[in-house]
Amino acid sequence: MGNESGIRKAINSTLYGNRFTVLIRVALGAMLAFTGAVKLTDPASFGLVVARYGILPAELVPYAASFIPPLELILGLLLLIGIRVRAAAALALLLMTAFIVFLSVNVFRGRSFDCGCFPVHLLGIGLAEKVGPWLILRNCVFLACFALVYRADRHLFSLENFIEKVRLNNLEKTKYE
Amino acid sequence: MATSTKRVPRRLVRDMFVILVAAGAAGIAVNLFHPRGYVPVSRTDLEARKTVSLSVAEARIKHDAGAVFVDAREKAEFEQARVPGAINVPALDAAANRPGIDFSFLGRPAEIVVYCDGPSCGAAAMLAEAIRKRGYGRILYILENGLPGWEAAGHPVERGVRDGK
Repeated sequence: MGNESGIRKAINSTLYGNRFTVLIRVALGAMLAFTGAVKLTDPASFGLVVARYGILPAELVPYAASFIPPLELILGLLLLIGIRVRAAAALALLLMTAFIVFLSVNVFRGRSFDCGCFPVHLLGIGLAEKVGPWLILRNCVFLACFALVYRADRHLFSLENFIEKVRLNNLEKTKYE
Repeated sequence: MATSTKRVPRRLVRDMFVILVAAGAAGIAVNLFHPRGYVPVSRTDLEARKTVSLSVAEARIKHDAGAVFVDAREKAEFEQARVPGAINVPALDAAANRPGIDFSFLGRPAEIVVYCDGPSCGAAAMLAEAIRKRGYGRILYILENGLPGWEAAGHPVERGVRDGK
């Protein structure tokens, strides 16, 4: 294993946690926090989106519509500032899996409608993404990215990392003073 | 690298649980204060909203449009006078679930207006509840002032024993 190729090194370094890992973490965190915050501004309209998928029974739609946006926002913020990264990434993985299942069922049913993924129409921006195989693929890419964030051992530029550094510094002080 | 994903540590599970609880609490809080949020409504409240009281004039319009009128009073009272075309379902019999009541009118594609002897007779409300218990999910109407109000407004009344029923 002494003469690893450059690509192999890069992959290992990314899996361990380098600047590229940070980029992915921050980008995904920002995305989750943004969509969560936007959805949170109008629970009823997100309820309509959930109902449109036609998977949850009508009684459960309000609960899902109330629960998913704050979950997205919290996960996004945790990833963004970099604390409890592994737990946040694990939940984001579950969330993405649920989204993929919801999308797949409707693609299988042959339906096509506005997916409501990023409800930017609430901000006055027209963006209508239709449910389709492309969205499933995109969510699979997100899934892989979250898996990478979950897998990484080190998160540069994160609160977690900062706290650990402070802890280690103080450890040294108490040891030698 | 080898130390990362061997088994799920307890701390991870605890953190995930805390995040989920926080999201749930945040969701409840947002809905509580948001003008278009979801609020919990009791089942009885939801059912009560499906029973609407009608003025005599509104009831007349529904009558002309072919609504089913259901007389919640006793058989003897029904035979004396009734809204033309009405069906008799005594409220006490319906509430006690006695056999021999024909509920087939619930399946008709028509609105149902229940009435009794006035605003405070109670039989109409009792029958409405009994119908509700049979799984009727659409809106039920109750004639506000009952048969006396109907008669006082000059609308037609049917009298005497009907041959068929």
